[in-house]
Amino acid sequence: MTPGASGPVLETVEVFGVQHVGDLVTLTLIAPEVATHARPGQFVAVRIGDETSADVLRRAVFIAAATTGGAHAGTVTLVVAPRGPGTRWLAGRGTGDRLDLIGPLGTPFPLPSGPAPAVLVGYGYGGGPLAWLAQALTAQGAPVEVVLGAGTAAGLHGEQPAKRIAERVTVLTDDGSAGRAGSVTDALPDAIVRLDAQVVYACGPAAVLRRVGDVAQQHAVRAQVAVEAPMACGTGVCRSCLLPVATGDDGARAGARLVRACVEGPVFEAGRVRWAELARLP
Amino acid sequence: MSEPDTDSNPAVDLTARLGPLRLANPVLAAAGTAGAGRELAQFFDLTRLGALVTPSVMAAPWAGRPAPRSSGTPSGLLSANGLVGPGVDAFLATDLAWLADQGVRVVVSVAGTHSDEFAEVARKLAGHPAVAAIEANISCPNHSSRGQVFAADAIASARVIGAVRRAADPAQPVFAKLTADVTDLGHIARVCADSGADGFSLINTVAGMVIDTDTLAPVLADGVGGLSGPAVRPIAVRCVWQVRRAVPHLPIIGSGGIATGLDALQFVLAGADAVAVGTATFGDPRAPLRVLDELAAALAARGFSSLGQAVGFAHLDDHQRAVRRRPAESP
Repeated sequence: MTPGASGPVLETVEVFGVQHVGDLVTLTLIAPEVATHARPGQFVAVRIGDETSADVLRRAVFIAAATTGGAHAGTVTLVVAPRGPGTRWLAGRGTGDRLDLIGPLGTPFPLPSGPAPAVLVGYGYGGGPLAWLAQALTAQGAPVEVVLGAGTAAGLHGEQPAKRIAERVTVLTDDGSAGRAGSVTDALPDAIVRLDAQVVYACGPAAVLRRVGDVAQQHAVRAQVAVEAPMACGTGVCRSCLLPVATGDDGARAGARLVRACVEGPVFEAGRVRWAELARLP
Repeated sequence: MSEPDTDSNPAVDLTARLGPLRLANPVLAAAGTAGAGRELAQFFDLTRLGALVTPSVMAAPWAGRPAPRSSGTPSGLLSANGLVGPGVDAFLATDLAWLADQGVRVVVSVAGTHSDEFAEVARKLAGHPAVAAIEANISCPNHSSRGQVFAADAIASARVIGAVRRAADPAQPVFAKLTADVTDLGHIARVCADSGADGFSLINTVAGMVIDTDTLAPVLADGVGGLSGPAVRPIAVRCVWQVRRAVPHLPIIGSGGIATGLDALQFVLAGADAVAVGTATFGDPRAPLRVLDELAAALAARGFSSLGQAVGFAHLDDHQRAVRRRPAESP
């Protein structure tokens, strides 16, 4: 494997823009090298703090969007949900700050070969990569519907870009503070039927992905889900992020193996993931 | 970003002498932190490493421990992956074959639940030219001893090291991977030496725990994990110092929180003939090469003409230091 081919790269990038919306922070980074081969579903591993930092591990953050060319040669957008010290530090970055990235990492959402109707489900920060994916799908001529959800209105992301691209955007919040009250999976069956969808894509917490997979299976539709697994390295060397997946095409078969979420994933077919064996569903 | 240039200090001879084993330079990628090389090969040329130590190989495939398996700690990482691996047959066919093809010097970490298993793996490595040495991971749980690691018990250590040395290819030196979690490390080291160890690799992770103050329970599924990273560095340097004193004649690979060339220099001065970079690689995939470059510069800046001149230097008194640094007489 040649260093620097179409695999991940190390890049020190500059923060170009910061947007605080609700609970989430959107960082736009000038990152032409990472942007070049980035695809929806992939992530970056971001160093936390400066050289005095006691945090030796990076944080894995989904790439919410990437552009190439243009005035800055390439940008990468990250949507950060501040939860722990590392993500809070990231969320506190300002314009002009520099970040150390490794990326793009992981396997992206697989695109259908033709204009296959697709329903995209995003929960919280998961709305980011989905709006980007919606762009790629509609560019292939696929009709797309987007379902966005969160606990509250402050956790939503991606509604505006999704509305520009998708045939329909449905918003639900657990507490009803935006859109309808309910879970994203409440709106999913109607969307699948309405569109005669051939594929469902999802990004968000594992508990949501599992339910999305169940609904898709009930409608005999494949679901490709981007799993957020706890990671220590993001590059495939530490084996901390192992996920149990079924062997073979028949998810019901007894065999299972552990695969690295950062290399063989983070995108998996929902039916293959052995959800019951994940220690904790976030 | 340009790669570190290890040719920038041609005046320093970086050859690492580990008994019969000679490595081009003293920096290894530590066991369990470099996979079998394919991932790091995306970031740098693996042949520039002194050697790569593989994840521990067991006789059969092993699923390891349940998630969560790791947690960041101040200046460290607590992990409990549990020796997950594909088993020796798959390792030979895929991982070792690939590494050999790339021309990488390989140290194979060997583990097992009983000494027979260690020996079985060591036997299967015999004759493979890519295998430069074996690292016997006796710092893994001894299932016959309620999970206590082999390396915490002199008799258990002796049994495993003896079995590995007898089963292994005589051309492949066997390094005992020691743990700091013992009362008398010098004693354990001497016993391993008497049982046939050709050298030592230390330290493995240090037993630790993090309790989640929200769930009010240990963070790791397994409770106790192994701590690595800069937080353990002083423990590791102390251990290298002690083993060098206890067994002066055998080579040492030192590891434990090395993140810079100056960190590595501490280990060399304490008595390590080579060093391994581990957890630092998770934050910086190029860490081993960077450490090598920085170590070379640090040696040159301090007037050492070779790595060998610096090994164990911190133990020397003034007279010994003067003798050590005297230019070699020409033949």
